[in-house]
Amino acid sequence: MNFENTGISLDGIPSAEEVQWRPVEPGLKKVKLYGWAIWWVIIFMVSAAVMFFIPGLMQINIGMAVFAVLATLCWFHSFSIGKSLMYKAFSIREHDILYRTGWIFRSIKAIPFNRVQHCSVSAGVLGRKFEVRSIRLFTSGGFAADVLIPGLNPQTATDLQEWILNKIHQDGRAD
Amino acid sequence: MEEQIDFSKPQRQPIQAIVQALLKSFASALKSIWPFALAYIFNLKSQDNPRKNTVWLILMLGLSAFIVGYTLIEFFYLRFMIRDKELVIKKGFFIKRELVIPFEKIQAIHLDRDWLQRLLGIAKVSIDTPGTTHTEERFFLTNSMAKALRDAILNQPISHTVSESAEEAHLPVINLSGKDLFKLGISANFLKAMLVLLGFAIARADDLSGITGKTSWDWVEWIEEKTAGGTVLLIASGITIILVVSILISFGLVILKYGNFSMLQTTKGFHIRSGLINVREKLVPFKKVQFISWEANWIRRHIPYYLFHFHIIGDHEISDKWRIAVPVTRPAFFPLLFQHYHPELPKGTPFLTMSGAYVGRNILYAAVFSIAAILISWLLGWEQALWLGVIFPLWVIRSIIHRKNFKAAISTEAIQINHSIFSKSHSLLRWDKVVSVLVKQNIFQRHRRLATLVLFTGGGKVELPYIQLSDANRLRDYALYKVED
Repeated sequence: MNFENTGISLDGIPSAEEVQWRPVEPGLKKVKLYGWAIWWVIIFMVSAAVMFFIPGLMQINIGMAVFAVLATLCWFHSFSIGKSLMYKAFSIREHDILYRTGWIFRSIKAIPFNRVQHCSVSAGVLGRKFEVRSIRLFTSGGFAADVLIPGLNPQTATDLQEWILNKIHQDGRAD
Repeated sequence: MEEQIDFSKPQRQPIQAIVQALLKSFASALKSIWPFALAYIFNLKSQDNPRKNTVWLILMLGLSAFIVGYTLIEFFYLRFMIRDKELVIKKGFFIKRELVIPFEKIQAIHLDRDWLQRLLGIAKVSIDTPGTTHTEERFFLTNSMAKALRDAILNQPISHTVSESAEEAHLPVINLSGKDLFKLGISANFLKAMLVLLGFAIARADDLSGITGKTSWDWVEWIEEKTAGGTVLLIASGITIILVVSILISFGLVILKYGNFSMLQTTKGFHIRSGLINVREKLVPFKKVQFISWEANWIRRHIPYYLFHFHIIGDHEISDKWRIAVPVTRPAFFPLLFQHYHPELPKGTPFLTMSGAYVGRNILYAAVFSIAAILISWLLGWEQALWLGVIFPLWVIRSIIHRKNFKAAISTEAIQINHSIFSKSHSLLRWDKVVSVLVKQNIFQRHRRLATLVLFTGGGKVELPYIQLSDANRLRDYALYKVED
């Protein structure tokens, strides 16, 4: 069996470092903050109920300590949402799409269009209220290999979906 | 003997398959209600509350009747047919569902036959489809019908003739001799079997605590009490018995799994058949193989025996139980397994290693975890909590060995990851099989300009942790170039 093992020349290969990043819509921050605010209200209420019903916990110093811990966590969480949104961005190239995310744990995921099986646009109640949509690109690699880009303008999301579907069909015909 | 089956007309499951369907329903129901059934039997003996017993009996009989009724209705309402290169499955009485699977989306068709199915002359047909909307459809057919359906989907003529001699065209690739099977059985990881056995015993002891009045921890204390006055010989005998039982169990499991193993080659793929009692068959189409891997446990790596895996589309979404590994008992088997994918990268191929920062991070994690474990155990009143300090050196040694043995060999067409700690693993991925690429960094990696590169395929992922950020970016760009070119 003939086996060649030539060295890799990376000259001329386009780099994903030199792309124009497009940030997500500012409305996404409101969607995230309002969405989490509901959960934080529930967490505060459950904590208060636990302190009220369990004998011995209904003390002012314990109450203050629990409130301080929860308030700090809540503040840090909303701060981290704001920070992470500053880094969230996407970029579309001729043959692939790149998505950048994370504040503490940063990542850049790239999906070539010829590996996309299909794509969907979605919006929750808050997303519809604040005019933001999410687009999900499905691959054969399952959930971990897919990419979900949140915080897109509704028109951009629809145009992008249509463009990607056309691209998939074109690639299919070329095959 | 030839049988003509017209799949363009709706077909249903054979009547003998109803035995299998009912048994499966009962087995899953019994898994949920067996502690209650035991409680009922114990209550029956005590005769202290006959009215309560009657309620329990009615509930159990009612549940059984419901299961039988539901299974029968669902069984008779399942139909399937082939229509314009699509497999159409209609099922359900209460909730009607029509599933249309285009042939090109079908990744694999598995035919499995356990002892009961062989007795009934039927086979379980499983259809794999890819992606997050992954659906694995399962139904039962007669052996001839199952083979006809498989061939009809793979060869595509709707009216298909089944010939019993069709498999004669298949070329044998691997067959295991009795000696191979024995060596494979004896080299199984018996420590894993021992842990599984202990885990099972603890879970069942806790399940039965309502009846026996003793939890798993109470049983441990009971054994401690009984062995406190025992001699060293008694304790050594106990340990030897546990080891022998674990070895016998793991040996038996391997024989059951790989007995009658055969691997045949057709023009489209490998046809793997394995199992002494529960026979599993898998067709591995050459084109659907995403990446390949082979591994040896801490015993087999010295023989050397390997288990070889073909990772096909959708493979990562099925449980280990349904995966079939190919036992490689002779080095001569390797070229046969590589030939339709990519040869193993030779020694001397340029390679990447993990950064030394990987060990540094693990020292930090191990220290934090060990101190937390000692503190928590001490606060809970365990006097020998300091023993948990042994976690620290073990963790650090493991990370040093892992870093030392990790190598990612890179060629223009493929990447091969070799790593070992106690066991030895190799993964080989062709660049053109990548579906998406991820470069990720935590704070620790960002400060040192390191990154972890993840290459996703339709059959799972291959990861290169703690490599230089510049290398990760260059490999990502190269992977995208190879996929898009």
